[in-house]
Amino acid sequence: MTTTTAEVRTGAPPRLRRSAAARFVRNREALLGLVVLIVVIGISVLAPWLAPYDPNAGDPENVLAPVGSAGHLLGTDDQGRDVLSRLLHGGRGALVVSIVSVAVALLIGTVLGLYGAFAGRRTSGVLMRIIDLMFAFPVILVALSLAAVIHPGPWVLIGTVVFGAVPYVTRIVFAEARIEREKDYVEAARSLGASEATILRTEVLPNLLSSVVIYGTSLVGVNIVFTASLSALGLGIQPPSPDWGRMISEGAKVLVTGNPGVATFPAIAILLVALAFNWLGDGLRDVLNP
Amino acid sequence: MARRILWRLANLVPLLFGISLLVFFISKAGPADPVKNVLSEKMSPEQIEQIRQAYGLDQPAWKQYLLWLRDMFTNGGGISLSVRSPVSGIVFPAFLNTLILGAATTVVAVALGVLIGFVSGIRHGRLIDRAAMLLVQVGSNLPIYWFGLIVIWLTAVQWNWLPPGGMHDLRGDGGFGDLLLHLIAPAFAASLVSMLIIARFVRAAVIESAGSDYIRTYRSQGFGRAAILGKHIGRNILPPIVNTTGLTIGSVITGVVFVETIFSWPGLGSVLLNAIAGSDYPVIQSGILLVATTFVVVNLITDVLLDLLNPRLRHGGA
Repeated sequence: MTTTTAEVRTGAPPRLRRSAAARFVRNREALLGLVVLIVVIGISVLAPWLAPYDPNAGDPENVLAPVGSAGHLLGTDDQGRDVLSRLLHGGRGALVVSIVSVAVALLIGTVLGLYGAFAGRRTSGVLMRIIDLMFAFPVILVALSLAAVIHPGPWVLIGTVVFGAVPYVTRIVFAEARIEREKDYVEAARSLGASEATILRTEVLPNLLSSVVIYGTSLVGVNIVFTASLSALGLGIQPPSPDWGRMISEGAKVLVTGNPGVATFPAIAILLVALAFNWLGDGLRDVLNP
Repeated sequence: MARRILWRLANLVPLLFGISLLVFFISKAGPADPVKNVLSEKMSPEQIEQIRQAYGLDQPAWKQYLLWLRDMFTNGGGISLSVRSPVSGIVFPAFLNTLILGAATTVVAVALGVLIGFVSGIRHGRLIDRAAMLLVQVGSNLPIYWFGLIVIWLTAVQWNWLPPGGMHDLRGDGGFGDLLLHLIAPAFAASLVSMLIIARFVRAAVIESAGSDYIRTYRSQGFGRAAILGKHIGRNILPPIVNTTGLTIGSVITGVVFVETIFSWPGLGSVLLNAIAGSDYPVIQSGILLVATTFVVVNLITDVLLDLLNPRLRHGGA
């Protein structure tokens, strides 16, 4: 009780800033998410030095070694490749693809959302109707069409994620920009003679940025899960690159014969990374948009 | 009301036109020559030209589009490049199987999603609610491909309850009960994402509805808990359920395509993946057009249902 009053009395801006960082550190899930992500990204970058074996070198003498066998901590797959080494390498493609495509989607969605919020009623009506349709559209059709046009590979994943994420970002930016538009500071800037474009860029956009970043963080997590399934289907990252999604479908063959590890370790890695992105996003929301 | 539905129907025309145009350009945009697989190196230039003419590839693009559209409706979608038989014979039976699995997936997603959402909503903040929300968080971050594998492994291998895949038992009578037995596991696996979305929305709707003033009034007047839950909260969360179900149709279709290959379900997803591997453009185009049209129609049905459920529109409003 006494601390609260003390904080109120000395509530100067530098103090507030420190408390934002403190709030983040105190948010256990957010901190855990950040730590997990730093570890996973570090591992992915350093995989060539960390991995005990070449992820693609099979050992026909030592096929399907069980978990914990000598030299192979997580065992080997049906071609005798070391599961741990593949696991350490396997996040690289998925992380790059998800982060890059969500960044692109954030850019497109922000531009569309701002445009929709500040355009005339008819234009914004048509735009948001299209966005509504994209919102529920089965993205798998986009993935299949892209795979038919360009060959299956990382570009199919990027195109699909961008298509799937843009409507979400657009809706959020649209809704928030509509609220901002009615606020006094926008009216004040307008009466001072600022053009709509200037108002958007220098007044409205900075106020939306935190929401966009928060939302983007969770979207990366969702799409790591989604692209893994696309890669497992054979539409995404192609062999011989070690990839978590691909490892799941390769492990499928031996899962039923009593070797669930080959498919399950990458699934756990994906789950952990996705949860970490979600936790980080939630934590950022508590800090930036309390 | 009728005008509103007519307006929605009229909206379909430009939408379907746009989709058909996009799907048509799938074969145009690709780097591969659509008839490359049919050609062989021994053919003379005249023979190649003949084949191109047979497929209408010497015509201007707009004419090719119209020819392609005509083929869609009259010639069974043209001839498959890899099997050399009419596309409709390949695509339609598979589409029906996908439709069966999609319908079952929707039923499972709605039933379990509403159940999870309703129970955790009325027990808001209690242990069962927190457990359910943990389940939702973990479940929506699981790769659906792996989830499908685990469902097979548990139900078919470990416990031996259900068949490990396929649509009918080869030695069985192929009856409805047999189909139902084969449907349970893939429908459950495919419903994961949409089920959890529905659960989250229903939970929020129940919490909001249970906290509203009129519910408190009923409670203070001594109405039974069951009556309040069933008659008032239940009715209030019906529109959000329909709305959310409509929004998750895309997830259902995506889930079904993921699951089909795992459960060796003879559906359109498997057909499309094979066609992509073989650059069989007529099959790809018909399949995608069919699924996209289904999506648009289901979307229309949800919109109309929502209109019908909206009392402000039902009683003669605009």
